[in-house]
This record gives sequence, C-alpha cells and structure tokens, in this order.
Amino acid sequence: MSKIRMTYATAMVLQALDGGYMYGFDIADVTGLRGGTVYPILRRLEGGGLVRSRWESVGVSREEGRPPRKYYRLAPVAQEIVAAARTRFPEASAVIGRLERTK
Amino acid sequence: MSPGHAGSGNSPPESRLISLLSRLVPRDERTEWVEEWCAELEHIRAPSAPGGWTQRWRRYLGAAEDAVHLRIRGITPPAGIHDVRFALRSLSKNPGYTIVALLTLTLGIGANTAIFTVVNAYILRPLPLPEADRVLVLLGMTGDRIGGVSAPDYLDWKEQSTSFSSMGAMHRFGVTLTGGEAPLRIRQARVTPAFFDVAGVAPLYGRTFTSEEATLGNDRVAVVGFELWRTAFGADPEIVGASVMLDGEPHTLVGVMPASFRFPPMSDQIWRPLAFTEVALNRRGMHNLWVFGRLANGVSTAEAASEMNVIASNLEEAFPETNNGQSVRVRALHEFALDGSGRGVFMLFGAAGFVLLIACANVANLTLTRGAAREQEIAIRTALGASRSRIVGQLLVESLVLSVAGGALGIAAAYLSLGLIESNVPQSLARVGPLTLDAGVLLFAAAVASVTGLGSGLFPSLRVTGSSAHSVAFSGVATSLWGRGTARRARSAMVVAEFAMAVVLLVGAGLFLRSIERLYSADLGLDTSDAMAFGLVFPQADYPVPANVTEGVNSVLQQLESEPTIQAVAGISQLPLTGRGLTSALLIEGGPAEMNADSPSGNLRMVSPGYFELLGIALTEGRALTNDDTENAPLVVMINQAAASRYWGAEDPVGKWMSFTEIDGQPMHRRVIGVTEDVRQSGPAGSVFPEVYLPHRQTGEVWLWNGAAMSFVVKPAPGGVVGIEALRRAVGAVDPNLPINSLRTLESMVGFTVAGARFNSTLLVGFSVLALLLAVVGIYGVMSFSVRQRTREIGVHVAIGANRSDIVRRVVFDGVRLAAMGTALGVLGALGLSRLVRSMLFEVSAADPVTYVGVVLVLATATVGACFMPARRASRIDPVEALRAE
Repeated sequence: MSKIRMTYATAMVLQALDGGYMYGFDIADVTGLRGGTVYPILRRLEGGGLVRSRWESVGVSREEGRPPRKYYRLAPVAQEIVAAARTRFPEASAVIGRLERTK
Repeated sequence: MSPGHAGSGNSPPESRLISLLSRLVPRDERTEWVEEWCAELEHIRAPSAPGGWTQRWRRYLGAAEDAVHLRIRGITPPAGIHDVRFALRSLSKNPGYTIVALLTLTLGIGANTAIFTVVNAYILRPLPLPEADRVLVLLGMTGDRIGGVSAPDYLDWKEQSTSFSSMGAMHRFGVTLTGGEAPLRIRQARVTPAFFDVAGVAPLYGRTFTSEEATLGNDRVAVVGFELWRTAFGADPEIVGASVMLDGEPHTLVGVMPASFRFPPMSDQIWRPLAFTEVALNRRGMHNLWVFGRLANGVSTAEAASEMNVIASNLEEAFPETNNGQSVRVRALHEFALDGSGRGVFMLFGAAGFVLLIACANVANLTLTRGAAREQEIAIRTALGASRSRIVGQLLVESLVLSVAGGALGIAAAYLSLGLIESNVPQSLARVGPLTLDAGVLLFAAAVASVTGLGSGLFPSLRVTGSSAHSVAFSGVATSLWGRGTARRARSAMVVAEFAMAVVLLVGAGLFLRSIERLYSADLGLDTSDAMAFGLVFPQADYPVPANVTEGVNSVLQQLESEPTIQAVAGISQLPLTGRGLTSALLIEGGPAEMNADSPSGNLRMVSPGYFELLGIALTEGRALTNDDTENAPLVVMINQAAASRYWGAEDPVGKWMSFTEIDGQPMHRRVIGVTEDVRQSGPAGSVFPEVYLPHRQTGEVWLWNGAAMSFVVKPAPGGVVGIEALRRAVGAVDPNLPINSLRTLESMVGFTVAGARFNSTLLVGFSVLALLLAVVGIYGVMSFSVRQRTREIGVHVAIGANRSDIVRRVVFDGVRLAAMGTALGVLGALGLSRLVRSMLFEVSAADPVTYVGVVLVLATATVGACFMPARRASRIDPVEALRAE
C-alpha cells in the first residue's frame, strides 16, 4: 500500500474519489485528466488496496438501457493517504473542490 | 443485454473498436477490460450524456492509451523506463565517453547501413517485375561464349518447350527520333509481343503489341518508356495514338510504360514489334536475338534448364551445319543483370562488418575503462542489495541507449553518403534499380544497433560486476581489481583484435588500390590522351544502299577535318574499350575450304585510314591503310598480332587472303597488307581477340551487319578543345537530321571499363581508413588509461631517479607491443582472406609484398603517434603529486 507513488495525477484521482465521483469517465471529467491516465491510476490504486471496484447492479443499467458500469470507491484505509495527498498537493484538492462547488 | 456483448452481431461501432483494442490487453485482464470500457462508452452514447463528438473521441483515445499501457506493462520489466532514464543521466554526466562512443558507433553502424543499402538495392530486392524470380534469360551459347539466338532457333524453343508460360525475343539497336528540337539517338528494342507477357508489367497508358503487329508491314507502332515519354513528349497522357518519326518513318505510339518498369540489364527507351524477315527466318546461323522466358506455374528453373538443354541438343543434331557447338544457358534475369558485381558487393559487406567489429571492440574498451571509475558506485549499490543481474541489466541498458542513438546517427550518415555511393556505382549495378533507404534497410540498421549494444555492453558489464562487493568498496581505487591482470589482458586483447582486423582491411584496400593503379597504367595498345569520340547512324530511309553510307562517312570525315579546332579525325565502326565487335567466321588461306563450327573467327572493324596513326596503334608488319584503298582498289585488310598468330602461326601473314563475304556464292578474297599491335578492346582487364580491320570504303554490305553505324574519333589542335558546336556544325553540314550520340572522351571510356574495380576500391579504402582511425583511437584510449592507472608506480620510478626518456620509451613500447601482435595476426588473416578477392585483382598478387610492408609501416607510424601523447604525459608526472594523490 505504501508502494503507491504519489504523483499530482494520483492525488487528483484520490480527491475525485473522495469527492464521491465513482466512474472512470466522471473522474476524468472532473479532474481534466485523460482516460488513458485515469484508468491506469485506478488500477494501481486498486492493486495497492486503496480502492475497491464493483459492477453496478444489472437492474439499474437495464432501466437506463445500457450495460452495467464498473464503479470505484475508496477503501476505508485510504483516508490517511487521501489526507496525505491533500497536504502534499493542496492545489489538486482545490481544483476538485471548486468543481464540486460549481456542480 | 449482457455485459459481455462486445463481439455480438449488430454491435455498435465503439464495441467493435474496443474488441479490436482489447487484443493489446493481456489475456487475463481482457474480459473485464472490455466490459468496463464498453459500458463507459455506451454510457456516454446515451442521449442524456453530456459532451459532444470531440469529447467522445477523446474517450476512445483514452481506451487506446489504456490498452497500450496494459500491454507495455505486460512486456517490459517494471523498472525499464527507470533504467533508461538512469542511463541517460549517467551518460550525460560523462560527455567525453559518450561522444567518443557515439561517434564510433555512428561510423560503424553508418558504414554497415550504407553498404547494406547497396546489398539491398542490387542483390536482395527483387527486380520491379511481378514474380521476378520466375523471369529467366535464355542465352544462346557458342561454345563458352554468350552469342545470340537465331530466329529459327527461338521459334523452335518456343514451340517445343513446356516450361514457360511465355517466351519473348528481343533484338536491340538504336533508333533516331526526329520531330523535336534536335534529332535524338535513343535505345530501342524490337520485341515480340510475348516480351511484355514475360515482363508481366502492364502499360501506364494504352497497350502493348498485338501479334498482328509483329508481322512485316504492320509493325509501324511503338511503346515508349516513362523517361523518354517525360523528356521527349512532355509527359503528355494524350500521346497514345500520336505519330512519331523513328528513323525517318512515321510510327504510331500505342502505349507508355510506367516509371517503375525496368528490365535489366537492358535499359531501352522505346520498344517496337519484332517482325521476322524472310531472311531471318531462314538463317539459323544468324545469332542476333535475346530470348527471355517466364516460368510456368510449378516449374523450377532447373527443370526449365534441363528441358531447354534437351531441345538445344536436338536442334544441334537436326541442323549440324549451323547448330554444331550451339547450346543454351538458362539463368535468372536478376542474377544475369548483376553480371558478377554481386561478389564485390559481398566483399564490401564483409569489410563493413569488420569496421563494425572494431567499433564494438572500441566501445567495449571505453566502457571497461569507464567501469573502473564507477566500481565504487557499483560496489555500493551491490552492498545496498542490488542483485548482480539487476546491475548488469542496468549497464546493458546504457549500452543499448548508446547504440540506439548511434544507430539513428548511423542511419543519417548512411543517408548522407548515398549520393556519393550512387555516383560511383558501376553501371552493371545501376541498371538494376535506385538506391533507397527502405524499411528493410531501417530494420537492418536497428538489428545492427541492438546487436552492437549487446556486443559492446555485455562483456564489460559482466566484468565490472564480477568482483565481490567487499573487495572494492573497502579497498579504494588504487589497489582495485583494475590493476589486476585479467582486466588489463581483456583490454589488451581487444586492442590486438582491432589491429588485426584493421590490418586485414588495410591490406584489402591496398591490394585494390595497387590493382586500380595497374589498371590505369596498363598498356591498352592505344593512346587515349585528348581523344574524343562520338557516334552516328545513317538511317536506311536516307541512306538506302551501302554506297550511300560510305559516301556519308566520307563527307563527315572531310567536314570534321576542315574544322580548325580539330587536328586529326578518324572513323571506326566499333570503338575500342567498349568490348563491342562484329564477330564473324572467316575463310582463310590454308584453312578449311568451307565455313563450319571450327572455322577461325575475328572481330570485324571498319576504319578510315587515319585511325591507327591517330590512336597511336603501332604497325608491326607490312603497310597501313591509305586513302588509295578505295572501292575500286584491290580488297585489303589489316589484322592484329593475335589474329596473325591464330590464323597463320609463325608464317608471314602479309599477302595471305581471307574472306567473310560472298558475291554470287563465291567468297570475296581480301589480302592482308599489314599487322598492328593488339588493342585491349574491353579495357585493361579484358582479353585480346583476333581483329580484322577493313577500309571503310571497301565495306560494302558489311555496313548492313553493323546497322550502318560509325563512330568518329577526333583529336583537338594542340592547346585547343573541340566543342560540341563544332561537331554539330560539321555533321549538320552533311545531314541536319543525323544526331550525334555518345559523345565522350576516350579517357572516360577507360574509366568506364574499370568502374567496378574503382567502386570496390573506393569503398574499401573508405572502410579501411575508418578501421585505422578506430584502431588508433582504441590504442590511444588503452595507453592513456594505463598511464593514469600507473601514475603512482611511475611517480615512484621518477622519484628514485628514472630517466624521463626511459619512461616515454617504456610506455610507447607497451603500445607498440600490442600493435605488433595485432599486426602479426592481421597479416596472417589477410594472407588467408585476400585469396577470396584474388579474382577481383588485376596484375597484383594477393600476397603482394609492397602492400603488406606499406600497411605495416602505416600502422607502425600511427601506433607510435597514438602512444606518444600518453607517454609524454607519463614522463611529466610529478612524483610528489603522484604519491600525494593517494
């Protein structure tokens, strides 16, 4: 779990997850990062045990007429890391924070 | 809808894209990856989703990036990128090493890439014909010499053989194109319609010939080649159907061939149908055709060859009077087009390989030397837990980074040298195709670069990491393993090997240079200085009978003589140094009464009386031709010494008769009036054939054999030059429609005959200079390193009173000892390897002592020079400083 390299992009993804964004694309939208950056980070975080992924229930997706999406949540142990990321990259949390407010 | 619907029938475009991209994703993660991305992409396709089309495309791009990320993660070790970064950092910290190593690699890889471009263009790349390996040339052989094929033989071959899907014949001779600004002499081939089937190339515009057009009276059509179409017809696509004047007669252009169409060794500019005349169809002994065939499906070249051999020997039996001694040789067109130049190219390839090996040894040496400075760093990293394989890998990455950069620079260097190489390529190669850096060449350069990286990096990195961490980390530099014997021996061995290889290359280059020098100074039997030559062809439309041709030649000779800038002029039907000749069987006094396969033969040349004097060809017996040897005078000939001894041995040839023409079935006797020295008609390395010179005014019907072509040789007045205007003026005064062709100096013709040897020696000299340079850099590097390592030892020597010149002598001696060992090995290697090039040398023995001694002297000088600087540095070592430095 300490193997996660804390880069600016990783901090952004953590902040977005912390802010409640659950889907890869939503995270990409809110952080302004590309999908090609977000997904590898999510996988790395998941591999490090900081993030858990689930498939959305078929019922929800069927109602909207689309396949089920995969969503991501922070693991409880991640709170410490998120806090550390916030102190290390305050500007990252500022960006996410602002976006949250404008939403 | 199930999550895994990506591959289903009416899948939306994004899921098709995703399933395509998913092939990049490692198998165990693939299903989930597909599901996630499909869901995400479909989600944004929903009407409610925000964002437009550009955003959607950004998402697709994201999927691609993600897939590539997973793939890369799958193959490279996790630390790969890190190692490259580390390598770049460490290389930039040591610019001296980096620059020298890069330069060395650039030269080594560049030389190899350049020569591979030649190999690729001429030997590996197939001819630009579809299934080019199935296109064969069927050579008519008279004994061991390539003759031609007669029309009846060709027709029998074509009818009786089953190995070919098509077989075409060709008869080549130039033609004059008029109607443009100036008349133009162009290369023409008359071909049977099947020729284009053999080639398998369709015209760019229009069509090729119908079989009807290959009959007399219907053959006034032509297909033009791309280059001529561009230059003479302004690349007009509407040209098909237009009428052009060829040899004064209108012909309809029916097609234009594409730019890529090439049929080496032929380089024709225009094609006309070949319609066999009654005479040609009845003369089985008239060998004037080239025959080409395309193999039928499932037939091998060997099978076709054995079938052709049977057919030829059947014809030999059926027509003994004409076909006795006639056989057929079947060869691939590509191989035939190379005309033996392939071996020279492979020799150069080998030489470039040596340069690369020397470069590798040099870089390895540099790396070893540098390793000495890094051993503490490495020892500490080992102590901190880095495994040996990790450190070896890391050092290898450094070598690879260097060689990749060297490869890129080498490709650039090769690219820059292409123009230089191409301008030196002998024509036999140039006809095959252009030199280009294509994908094959780039692949080769990449392979060479990576092998070089491994080759120059593996050994040093194993060595550097070979010692235990302790002994280095706690011992300090002075007593390190670098002073120990094995490492020094390894470096010395590499210097010895470099010198050995450099010697082999230098000896090769020396042998070729000596051979070129001999070629240029060889006695050709004629004096080419200052002389220029050009050709004229007297078209049958304007010069219908042989007497007209003789008249035309006379008039041109007179006009040229009256030009003030011209001192002397002469005519000859086949210029010397071209290797061309009209070979004819002869009846000679005292020989067989009828012509048969055993009849003596000779090359016929029609000359004007001044020819021998102008070119300084000496008369050895009898008299020379004069202006009195006219149409009405008794028929005479001159012969060369080779003819005299071949025909009559030791007897006096003057006054004897010979014959090669008939009147009313009776041989026309011509008396030998004089004998000249032999002339090497195909250049210095060519052989001497029997020659028969007949006065141009007694040529008669022989003009027709020759296509009414005559060349003129002019010598300028002392101190002057002959301009083309003067020649045009003189020829134009006789006939404004006669184009001057092939204007050149005789010197350039000598150059042409030795072009192959010159190409080989130019490149070989280039390679050997590179090799020498690299070897000298190598020995310099090793000597200066060893001096630096022994600073303390030398300091002690100086302190106890050693003479400084002694120290210089000792350091230089160390270097010279290595160089001498390498040179000795190299001389042995060169003695062995130069046998392989013996047939490419001219009048120089492969063990030529002058070359070997010269090479040894050059190397000795270079070695002493390279060792002197480190030696001087050693002699200036201040003992106090040297001891304090520890």
